[in-house]
Amino acid sequence: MNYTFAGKTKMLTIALMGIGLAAIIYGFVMTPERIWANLLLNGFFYLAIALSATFFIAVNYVSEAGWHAGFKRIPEAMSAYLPYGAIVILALVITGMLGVHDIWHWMDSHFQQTDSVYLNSGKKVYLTNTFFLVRTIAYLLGWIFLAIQFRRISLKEDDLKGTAMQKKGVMFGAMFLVFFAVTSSMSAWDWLMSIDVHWYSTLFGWYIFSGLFVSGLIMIMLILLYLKGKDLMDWVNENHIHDLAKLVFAFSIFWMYLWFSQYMLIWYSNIPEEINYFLERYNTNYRTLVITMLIINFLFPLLILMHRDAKRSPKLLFVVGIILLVGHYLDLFQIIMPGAVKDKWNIGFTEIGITLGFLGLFLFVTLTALSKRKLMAGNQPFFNESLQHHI
Amino acid sequence: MGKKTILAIFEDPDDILHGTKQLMSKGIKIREIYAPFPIHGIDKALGVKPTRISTVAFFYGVLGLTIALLMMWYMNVKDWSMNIGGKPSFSLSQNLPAFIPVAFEITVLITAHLMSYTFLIRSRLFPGFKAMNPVLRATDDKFVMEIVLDDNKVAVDDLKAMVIEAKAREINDSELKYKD
Repeated sequence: MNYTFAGKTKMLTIALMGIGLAAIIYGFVMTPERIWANLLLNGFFYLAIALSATFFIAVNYVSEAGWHAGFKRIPEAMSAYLPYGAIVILALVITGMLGVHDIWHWMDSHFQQTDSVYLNSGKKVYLTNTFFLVRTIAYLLGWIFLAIQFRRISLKEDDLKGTAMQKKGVMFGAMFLVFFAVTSSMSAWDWLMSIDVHWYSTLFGWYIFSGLFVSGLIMIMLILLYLKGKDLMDWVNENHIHDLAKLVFAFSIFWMYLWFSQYMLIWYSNIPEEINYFLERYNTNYRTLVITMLIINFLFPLLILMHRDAKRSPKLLFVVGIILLVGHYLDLFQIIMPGAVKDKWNIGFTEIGITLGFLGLFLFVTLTALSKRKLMAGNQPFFNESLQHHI
Repeated sequence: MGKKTILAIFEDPDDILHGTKQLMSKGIKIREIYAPFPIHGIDKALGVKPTRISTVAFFYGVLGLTIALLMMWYMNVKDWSMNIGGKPSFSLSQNLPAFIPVAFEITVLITAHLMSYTFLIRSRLFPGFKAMNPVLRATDDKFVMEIVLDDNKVAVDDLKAMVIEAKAREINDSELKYKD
């Protein structure tokens, strides 16, 4: 059984992209100081969701897990968005180097020659324009290359019985995990942490990864629930959804654990160059936003998703999923905005419109990719195990 | 006072699981299953009510968190005020980050202890408790199904035939001495 991407759904994603385009034009004209930071925020958010989906495939290949085989076409389709997200990030890096915007204000040559913190640390070697561009291209190419391999072997498997493609998947999965372990941290330092150029935190990469893996899992879950709502994929039952919700629950707690580990050490030692990061977020007009996102991302899933019945109820999960996505969007918002636009932030048409636009693009690419494949990866060696999955 | 009981002995966990389902669908009431290890899905097949220990655990956790915070508030704020990390604010809420790790540990400790005690008391596993296994081989490699005759309005021979049909390898009649 195949999914057909047409009619109202297609119109809706195109309309969302239209809103996004209008918001970008509106942003450039009316709020030029916020537009670039917003493009980075959304460019990274959806890129990371696609990347989380690729990570999900890789982890399940390497651990030889079977339960996900029933719906593995969904993360595969999501990973098709990677090149589009990559173009946005690459465009931002290149425009930044040309001096069009100053999200990464260390790219300015005057800064690089005069800033004493920059000059007296390893940052003068690591944060240089050329090296930054080279790293960005390397991460993006590596991720896209491996994501294409996963999609390619999965398609090949449709006409090919046996374990040959599965073994290749384990190999590519292992390659991806090693590459991703390094690059997920490094890309978070480069694209996000270097916005606050004087500050550093060794935990930062994991903190970003955990939050965005939650978003990726939620997106997989939402698309799965949407397809099940259309009476497709009836071989995926509440046991699979339960396990996905469990992962969302667990990684929400993991996210809080990392946020808190980073916060507590900085709070305790109280060193000016470190604590400044939190002062910028707590003693300013960001305070309400930070507290709200902590409640949404931790207390809310902790209390709602703790119960077994909640993890098996599609309607509840759909609502919880959307709220959590908003929560992690706000988390990324309070990471990027204080360094990039200072106290001039606002949530207006620019922010909401661009987010909806990127959501439209993401869904358009994902659902188009989904409609080109069979929804049932029936030749996957673990497919039968996935059918029997029971918890 | 013993009750007339049939003890059906199975060789394989899958056999007893399918056998249970088969007998339950014919309306036979099964009193208990004895197995050397947990069999996945057997509680559902037997129609055992889901455990409520997770609900209890949540409240134990809330209790543990409260005790932990009260204890640290009394020790480090009220009774002997501590200067924590160079921040002599002497308030629980302002120094909360320093208390979180300990609060977490004590919550887990108290929850785990109380859950174990609850489980032991609920299963009546007090010290000096006598084992209730009717067939000792069920602690090694056999799977035993206990059917009390009074529970079912089926003739003994019919019942035995049904149990044999459900792949039991061996049947013991027995009078359990220790039940009610």
